[in-house]
Amino acid sequence: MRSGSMPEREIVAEVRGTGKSEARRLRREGYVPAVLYGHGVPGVALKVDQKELARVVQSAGGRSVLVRLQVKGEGGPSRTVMLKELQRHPIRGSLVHCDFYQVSLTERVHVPVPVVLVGEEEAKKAGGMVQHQMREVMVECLPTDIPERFTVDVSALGVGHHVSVSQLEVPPGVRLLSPGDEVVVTVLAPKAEEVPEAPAREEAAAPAGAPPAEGEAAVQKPEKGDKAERGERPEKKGRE
Amino acid sequence: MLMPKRTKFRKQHRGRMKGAATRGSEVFHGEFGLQALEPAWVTDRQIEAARIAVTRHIRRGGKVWITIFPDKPVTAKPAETRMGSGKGSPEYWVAVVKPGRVMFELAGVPETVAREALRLAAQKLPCRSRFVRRQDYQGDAR
Repeated sequence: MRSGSMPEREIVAEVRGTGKSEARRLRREGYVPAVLYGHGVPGVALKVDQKELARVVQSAGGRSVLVRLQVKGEGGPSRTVMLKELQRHPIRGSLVHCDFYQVSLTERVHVPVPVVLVGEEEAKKAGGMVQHQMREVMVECLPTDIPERFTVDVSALGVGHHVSVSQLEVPPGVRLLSPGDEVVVTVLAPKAEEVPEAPAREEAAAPAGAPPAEGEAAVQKPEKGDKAERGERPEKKGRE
Repeated sequence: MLMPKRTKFRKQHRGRMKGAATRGSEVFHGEFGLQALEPAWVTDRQIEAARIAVTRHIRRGGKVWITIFPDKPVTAKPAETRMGSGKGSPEYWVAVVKPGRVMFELAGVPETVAREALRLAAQKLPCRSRFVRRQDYQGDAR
């Protein structure tokens, strides 16, 4: 289990207007609407180039990277920010909006750090099934100390063994916020293969499972009302 | 078959399926997923058929998550019935799925196996769908 220091990236933004029609226009023109805020920093609506932002997002580290943000038309040094939240289009997957959080290099921040597994193949060969339960761990540290990732070696884990948050190797200056007893990764015994006779059993059970319940548990209900509605009443009605 | 344990009301209005999924549109639990591209009512039987298709293909190893739940009752009137005399009786359950919704997730298998398993599952579903990976998936690089 090891961690590394975080590289910094750069991005240029411009101040934008607000409103949904403005945001849509910007997206059509190849920008992503964004917002900048922070502790004691007034919020500013920004726009960033879509390709530039995608490049930063794709680069290693994902969310918890420090970025140098230069706001066009704003004199002075660039701001140090983090990508706090990214919104994507549910189907296209394109970036829709981005939150930049301005950090102070002397103020501790809470950030999620990804947990990466190594040695999965060895664990699988030993007959286990690796279940990665926690993919991110919350930590508190200075922005310059944010670990790039926590690496967990699972090659030595046997079936039934696990690694919990407290077993992660934390670099100095970093404090874990996630509960220490939470399981990060566990090796399970493989499940038995599904028996091919399953469909016959399900077909037999299907008519009983079909009608739903009202108010109470579905299994306990004798379906009195449903039967009456389904079969008898319509026949009686058909007089003509 | 998936169905609610108890419900407050027996029958529901049909509702509309406008727009795209606002949540559940990213792979959360596993590494791979099957994402809907059209709005649809996915019935409990279709979900079960898809689940069986996936588990049969991946055989042993791997874990499957079903990230939709059929909590909407669908009513039907008996065949050859005159119109009127109220709403029909509940017959089966559906999950309302909007475009973008990840319906199944899979982990612990190679990508080629996952692709084929989810392709087989997609055959059982009433809407077009596609194979997706989680955003931070690193594949063979890991």
